[in-house]
Amino acid sequence: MASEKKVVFLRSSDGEAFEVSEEVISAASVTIKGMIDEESPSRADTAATTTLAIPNVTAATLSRVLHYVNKHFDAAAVVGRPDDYIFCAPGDEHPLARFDDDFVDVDNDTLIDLVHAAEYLHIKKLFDLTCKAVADKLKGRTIDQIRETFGIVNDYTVEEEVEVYRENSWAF
Amino acid sequence: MEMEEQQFQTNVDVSVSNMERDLQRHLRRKGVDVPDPLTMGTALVLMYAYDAIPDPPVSPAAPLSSAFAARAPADGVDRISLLSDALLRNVVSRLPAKDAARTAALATRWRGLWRSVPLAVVDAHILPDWIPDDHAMPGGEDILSWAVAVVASRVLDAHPGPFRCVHLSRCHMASHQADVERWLELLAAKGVQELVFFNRPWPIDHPLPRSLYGCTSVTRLHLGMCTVPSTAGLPRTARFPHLRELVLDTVAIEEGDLHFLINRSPVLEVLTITTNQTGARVRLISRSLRCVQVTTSAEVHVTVVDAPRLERLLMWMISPAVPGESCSRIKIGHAPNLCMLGHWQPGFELEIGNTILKVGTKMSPSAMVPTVKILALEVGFQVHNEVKMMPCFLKCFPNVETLHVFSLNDVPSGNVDPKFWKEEAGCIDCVQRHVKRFVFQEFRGKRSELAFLKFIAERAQVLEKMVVTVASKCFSSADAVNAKLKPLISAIWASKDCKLIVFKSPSSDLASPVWASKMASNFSCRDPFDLLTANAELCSLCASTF
Repeated sequence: MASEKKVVFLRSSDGEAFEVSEEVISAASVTIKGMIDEESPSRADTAATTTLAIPNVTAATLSRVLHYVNKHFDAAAVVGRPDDYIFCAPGDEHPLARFDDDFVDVDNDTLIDLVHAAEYLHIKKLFDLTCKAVADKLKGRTIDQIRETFGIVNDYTVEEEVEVYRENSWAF
Repeated sequence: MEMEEQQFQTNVDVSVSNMERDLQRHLRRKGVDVPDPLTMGTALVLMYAYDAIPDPPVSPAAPLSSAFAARAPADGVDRISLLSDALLRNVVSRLPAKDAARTAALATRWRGLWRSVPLAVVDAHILPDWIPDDHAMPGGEDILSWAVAVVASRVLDAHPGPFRCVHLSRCHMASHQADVERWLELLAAKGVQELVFFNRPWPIDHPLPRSLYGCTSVTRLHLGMCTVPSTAGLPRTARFPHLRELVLDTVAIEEGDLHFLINRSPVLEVLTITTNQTGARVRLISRSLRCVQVTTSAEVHVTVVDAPRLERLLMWMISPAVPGESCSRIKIGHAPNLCMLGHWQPGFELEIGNTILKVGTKMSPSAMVPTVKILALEVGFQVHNEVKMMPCFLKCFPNVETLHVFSLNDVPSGNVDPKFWKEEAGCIDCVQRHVKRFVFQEFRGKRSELAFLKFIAERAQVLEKMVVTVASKCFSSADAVNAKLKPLISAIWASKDCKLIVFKSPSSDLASPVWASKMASNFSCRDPFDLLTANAELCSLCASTF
């Protein structure tokens, strides 16, 4: 069976096509699995490969997403899953923890594109990872720092702002 | 016989002697004189208790300090505000309470967000930065305790709930009784899932108010250094329908109240009782419990009456029995899924079905627990009665596949015949036919230990791995260990493919097995008795000489 592994092509919003194993992407993305299942009756007897349009995701983001998906969902590539451990030590890290850290160590725009892509494609692990990474960028920073890094415009009046600080004074 | 010698490379550091050393180092760093033994003992108990608190679902530290993180967007566009409300809420819910509340000041759209997500309140995360967050000592009321009381009150007031977790462990409750009562009322009204509620001593038995029982949404309840309120007079319909894990750490609780809690928690899977000075008496009747653990306590009486889902019955550092007086008792009735039992300590009384195990008890199927696959016991190999009891004990568990034996350094008593294992032990089913992994900890080079090791080697037909850790202070060199183990290595092993692995013990004097109760009740940890050896094996690639 290994020799006839099915692949599908994903076409990004800017028209670039990416090849990915059908099995791997189906395990990762609920959205794409749904698309494939819908298509399958018509392609059962043809040898043609399917191309799926992913209108909301650019090529740059899609290629990152597929890099993540191949790393996390390709059973052949994953070594030492946590359930293979006969025991777990407090300091033990998931073998892919380092990969994940590096994966989300990107600029804010790229990260937020990844959040959107993970949400649209319904890849829960990636969605959790990227939301957590956004949260990490908000931790331990002053309001001004956060506004600056994310380009958030302060639309409070002075009176309102004083009131908000007063309401939550314990947090500042 | 293939033999490997390795030195420990381990990051598991949970033995008591290690903790004592850590605590002293910690105090010295803080410039505190090492206090008197009583205070030191309490501090140790506290340290152990805090260590057992589960990690909260959010952490204050941001792991990334990359150059990217601080860079402003090139086009000045506010990308994060383009996210939907649902997405922003998801992000804010991953923040510690203080960071979450602060986002309110970013812009008008953010103002109410933090109040609309389930909040994680951990007292260490919400304190002002200038408060020293050090609570290893039983300090009573101080600036830390006072600050926790003030800030916790404000957070619990300001947020409408529900709370995904609330960890309050730094407050001296005796000084803030009214606050404590109000917190529990607020939590009951607003909803809380994971509740860690630790009183800061002294006293260590501060009575909790009955409003605790209003927190019926709780899924995990971890109480410490307090007295649990009486359940008498609670409505007949009182239930904890979501409670999955109950941990009582240095908690005074009446037997009837404990049984009430077990009885009214239909999905309770994990029960842990730690440091109970008056001993623990538990009668288990539960359709949901899967793991029951009692550690560092006085006498234990556990009666498994009817626990169809019980898998793990775990004990650690139970006070030794006083000869002639009472002893710890384990009675196993209906437990058709019990697969893990230990650490069995000398002097425990075992009753299976209606048979109390004694030397020479005639074995019958009704006096056996055939489901147990992992068994751990502690034995003083120089104590005649303990060695004599071992075969009888092992015969009660005919299908054990992993056997852990910890050799105690007990005062020798009686004459232990080295030929005992060869001539008197007889046929032990689990050893003969089922034990695949055998771990012997703290080998001290005694003849009686060696006789037992040889017995296992010569009888265990399906043994795949024998792991021996060597008490390092008993040997001067690797050669001394080799010489001592020679009879074992040259024995005629019943299993031809068995691998013998010898480790140097990581601690200079292990008086009890290494244990991490938090991991032991985690079902993904498959063998909690194996913290040291399994980890050492995983790291053993860097093998070195003894």
